[in-house]
Amino acid sequence: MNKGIKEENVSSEIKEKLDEYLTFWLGEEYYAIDILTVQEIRTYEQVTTIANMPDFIKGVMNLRGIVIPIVDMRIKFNLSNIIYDEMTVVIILIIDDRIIGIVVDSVSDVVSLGKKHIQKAPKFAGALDPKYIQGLATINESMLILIKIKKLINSREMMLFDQLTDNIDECIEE
Amino acid sequence: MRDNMQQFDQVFFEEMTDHLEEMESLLLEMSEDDDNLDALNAIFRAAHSIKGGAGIFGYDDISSVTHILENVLDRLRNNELVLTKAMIDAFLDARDVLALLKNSHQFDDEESVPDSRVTGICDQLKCLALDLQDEGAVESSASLSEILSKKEINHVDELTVVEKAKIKILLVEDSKVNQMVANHTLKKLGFENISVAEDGKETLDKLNASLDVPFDLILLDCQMPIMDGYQATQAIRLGRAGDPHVNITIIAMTAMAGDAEKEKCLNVGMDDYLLKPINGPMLDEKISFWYGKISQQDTQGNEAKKTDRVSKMKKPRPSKVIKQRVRKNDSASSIRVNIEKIDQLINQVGELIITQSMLQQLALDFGLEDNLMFVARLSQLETNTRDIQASVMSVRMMPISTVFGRFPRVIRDLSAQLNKKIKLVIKGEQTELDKGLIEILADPLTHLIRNSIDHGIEMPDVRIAKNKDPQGEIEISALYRGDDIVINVKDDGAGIDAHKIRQKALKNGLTLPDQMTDTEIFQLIFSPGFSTATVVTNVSGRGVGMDVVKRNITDMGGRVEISSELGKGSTMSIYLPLTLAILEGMSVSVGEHVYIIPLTYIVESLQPTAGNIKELNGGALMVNVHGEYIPVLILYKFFNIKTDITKVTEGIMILLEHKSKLIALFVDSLIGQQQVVLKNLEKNFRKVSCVSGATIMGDGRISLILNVAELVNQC
Repeated sequence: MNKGIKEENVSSEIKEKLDEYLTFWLGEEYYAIDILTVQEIRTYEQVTTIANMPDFIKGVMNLRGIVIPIVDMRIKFNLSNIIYDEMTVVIILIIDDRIIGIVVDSVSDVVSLGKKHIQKAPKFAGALDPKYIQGLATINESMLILIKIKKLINSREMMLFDQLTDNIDECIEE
Repeated sequence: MRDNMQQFDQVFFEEMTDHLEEMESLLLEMSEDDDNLDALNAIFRAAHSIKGGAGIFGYDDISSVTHILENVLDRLRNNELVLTKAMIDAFLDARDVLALLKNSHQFDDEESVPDSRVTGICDQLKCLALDLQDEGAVESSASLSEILSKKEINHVDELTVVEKAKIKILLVEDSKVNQMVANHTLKKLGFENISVAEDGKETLDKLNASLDVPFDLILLDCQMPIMDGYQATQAIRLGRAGDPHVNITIIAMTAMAGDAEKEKCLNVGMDDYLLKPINGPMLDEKISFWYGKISQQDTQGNEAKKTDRVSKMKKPRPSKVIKQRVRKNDSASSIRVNIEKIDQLINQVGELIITQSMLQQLALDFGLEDNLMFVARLSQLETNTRDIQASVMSVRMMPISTVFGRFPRVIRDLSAQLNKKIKLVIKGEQTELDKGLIEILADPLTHLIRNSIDHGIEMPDVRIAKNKDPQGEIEISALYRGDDIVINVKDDGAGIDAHKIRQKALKNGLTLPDQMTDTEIFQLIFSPGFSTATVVTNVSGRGVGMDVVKRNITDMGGRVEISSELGKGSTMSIYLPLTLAILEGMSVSVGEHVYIIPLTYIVESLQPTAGNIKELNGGALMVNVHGEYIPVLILYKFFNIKTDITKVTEGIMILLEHKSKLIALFVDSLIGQQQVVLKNLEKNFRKVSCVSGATIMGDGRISLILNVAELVNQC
């Protein structure tokens, strides 16, 4: 976890505005999210499971008195060999005033990337729908996938938040 | 002047809001035949305080309205006018205009109040004042400057900074704003030795407490609760504040212009007279002038002045003994606190409770429960934390009367507008609930009441035709029921026609199931764009509102129910959870999980025997309790949890009751009863079915709190 150390070869070359990203591994794939959404990084602790939830929603955790949901991205991305031990890492995110935790294999680094480093994502069939991908970049010869984390977390498929039901039919069902 | 006073204007607005509220409630209590002098005085005081503050901050529109209002009130107090219904209406109207003006200043929206509204009410009030009066009693603002120019202020030598700092001044003023402003002004002038009192009584106390180093000067407000400035002056002159203060210089601060007022001040024994809003130069001049006198007095002794005063005082004064209103004047014993600070306190106490139960858990884990000393101390800690918690929670609780208080006005205005006769009955206004809820509750509740007035209560002739009292009745009540607070709005009007609602819904293109209970049909009223009013009025019937009502209440975690009988009336009930409440719960275990069941729902728990369990063909279970078969909900199956205890005879059945429906919840075992701090799941997550929230247990783990209402409906 070399948090705070910038990739030298990237930042020295350019003078344009750079955004910082937190990178992490999920299986063989290398991902990054906007560092401004990250509150902290923790190890995986006791989680209280909730009945009848999709399997990637592990349950809720006590973060210093706050009840936050924990999502295992490894399950969401269909990885195998999922174990929970003291090395399991949870990234605590703040998205629109809501705090949630995501479980990943390992947190790698913080990188600074400008627009010119980010390549538009081609359409491909991966675990992640391309609409949640901001773009691709190359770091140390690995392909880095930049996730639109806000959009993903707020999406209906993550099932984390209630969707607003302003629809007439839904009101009447009650 | 405005610039450096801005720091106080927020306090002024808060105070003004209070004054306006008091005015309204007093006005609503008043009637033509009841010439209530106390109430008039209190209204006068409120108007007067607002006028003073508005003058300071330069809100001329507010001060001119209050000024005219004050004139009418003053004439009423002096029996120069007779109170009429038109006056009360005009006063209420003036109150509304003032509230609007206040908002426009407070939120810097200067355009929002049309001038016509302000001049309209001013004219109306002026007419009322002029109606029965002889010539010229309404003071024009010209008389104000007249008074000022008439003042014969001798030229005095400026005091030095050192001298100023030494003068011991007692500032007496009941309004916080005026207090702060006067204090600020004095300090700016270089006067540093300032004490503050809020009313006449406190003034005497303060004076008596400082006989060793007597005060040099009193700046005294005339209109005050408990003991006003005139009474205080008399008391001081009679020596009730100790001998050193008998001859103290008293300068009145009053917003009442006019020679009569000046005379009154000097008559009771005051030395001079300052017109509010006070300003720096004026104050400086006065104090310098009188301080010079005081020093002189010290050397020569001013017997003449003293005897003069005493003789004046002994004259029987024709003043009536005015009973002071005690109810709303206890402001001195309360303080304003930012709600965020209270919330912070509540959160911290929540953490304290958790830490405390963690300690208790640790004591068990380390086998310390045999150490009696330790256990005693620990239980002491528990008692203390619970006490703190209860006190802190009660800070946020407010009686619901703060919302209910606005409805007499709503009903009065609306029923007049619609030509209906309506009596309002309010019950349970002392029921306390969380301040946050009270604030959100106001709008939906107002809407329900407007709805009842508009759609519910019939016109008087219709009511007579139906053999009903021509005067309709609306009853608003609040009560606790289990975990909920229930607020009912009940009318004895026409009731709701379920058939008509259904037709309307179908016409609106909704698809409805064939079988619907009336209660379900009534819920359709809450769908967006739904209104059955045949005539659209500006009161209701525009099809907006009821859906918003429902959304507001659902957002608070509550629900609305309607019951109605055609021709007899309807009742709308708002059920709200006491969200902030600490829950008294029973913890139960299922497999590795611990759940909390709110104690209020638990009827009893029992260990079933094979004999009293009945399995139905579909696999569902019933348990026979005291000769009654009750459906069983097996929690481990329902929640898909692994547990070793799968035989009904090995576990525990907990009988839960919600709305007179009983179920038996099957769990592994009971752990124990405990208080838990309710944490909202929806804050960072979403609504989970059959779970009403979460709590943090002694070991730091999270347990879910079961939503019994939803569980009961699963069977």
